[in-house]
Amino acid sequence: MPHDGHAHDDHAPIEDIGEVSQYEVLEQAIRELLVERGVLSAEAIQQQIDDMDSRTPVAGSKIVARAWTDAAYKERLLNDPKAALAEMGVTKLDENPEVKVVENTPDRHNVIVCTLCSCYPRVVLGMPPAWYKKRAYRSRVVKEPRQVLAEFGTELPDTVKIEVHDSTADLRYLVLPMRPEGADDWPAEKLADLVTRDVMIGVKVPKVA
Amino acid sequence: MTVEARFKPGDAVVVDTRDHDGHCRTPTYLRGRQGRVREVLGAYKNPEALAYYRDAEALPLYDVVFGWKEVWGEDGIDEIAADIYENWLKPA
Repeated sequence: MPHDGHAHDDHAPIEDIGEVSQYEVLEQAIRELLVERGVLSAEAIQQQIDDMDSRTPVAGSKIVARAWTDAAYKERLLNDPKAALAEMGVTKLDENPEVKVVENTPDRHNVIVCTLCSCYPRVVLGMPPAWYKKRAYRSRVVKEPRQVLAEFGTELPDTVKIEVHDSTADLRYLVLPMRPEGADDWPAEKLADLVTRDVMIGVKVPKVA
Repeated sequence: MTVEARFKPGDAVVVDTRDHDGHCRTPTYLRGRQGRVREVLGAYKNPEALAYYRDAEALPLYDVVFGWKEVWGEDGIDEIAADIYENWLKPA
């Protein structure tokens, strides 16, 4: 499309990034210093960004679906998550916080939060959703978990104990949900579609449509 | 890292009520609350020193479970689990 005296393909308007915040200036200054002094290379920084961008909840979905269909794998996942994650192709586990897997049962439902910041099992789920980092979720889910879960459409019977895991330290938590009814003969590939990000945070339970 | 853990699974512990300036990973809503050690998670460097690039000693880290009434003063079957470093725990 022609404009300003030249023509090119359609694209979204180039954003005006507006004012640069103090933190952005600080980040850039520190990053440039680290590169200049040889502490980190620009390539290493970009590689980390690329690694993080490449992680998505698909990794977690496949892990959960395998645990549902392979009892021995489920045992390994609960007892030696690092090895079990590596088996499913999750890489660079040594560069990321350890993951601990908590299992939902008919009596107990797990939900994950980080009240202090936004700790999240990024190595298996990628970047956290915006609501996970918001004060509303972080302060409410430890105080009124049943109401928060209900807002996600998750109504649990009064007999099911909710365990809220506050990720306060070095471990990151991943919820292993219960396999839903009505998917008994499904292969792992199909089951994985039921295991969404929210299910692995514990604000939802998997459902067969 | 192997450091001898003072508490074992099943022990009743209380989170210290002290104030702390600067980086700290012990949530204030759990300070002064009594919980039960479920698991010794290992030993991890003290984040209160690590955050400032000081020499950080490895501290035992515990999975501690707190009952609803203990934390919020209201009846309820739900629980809160948090990972607490040993320097914040006292025997109940």
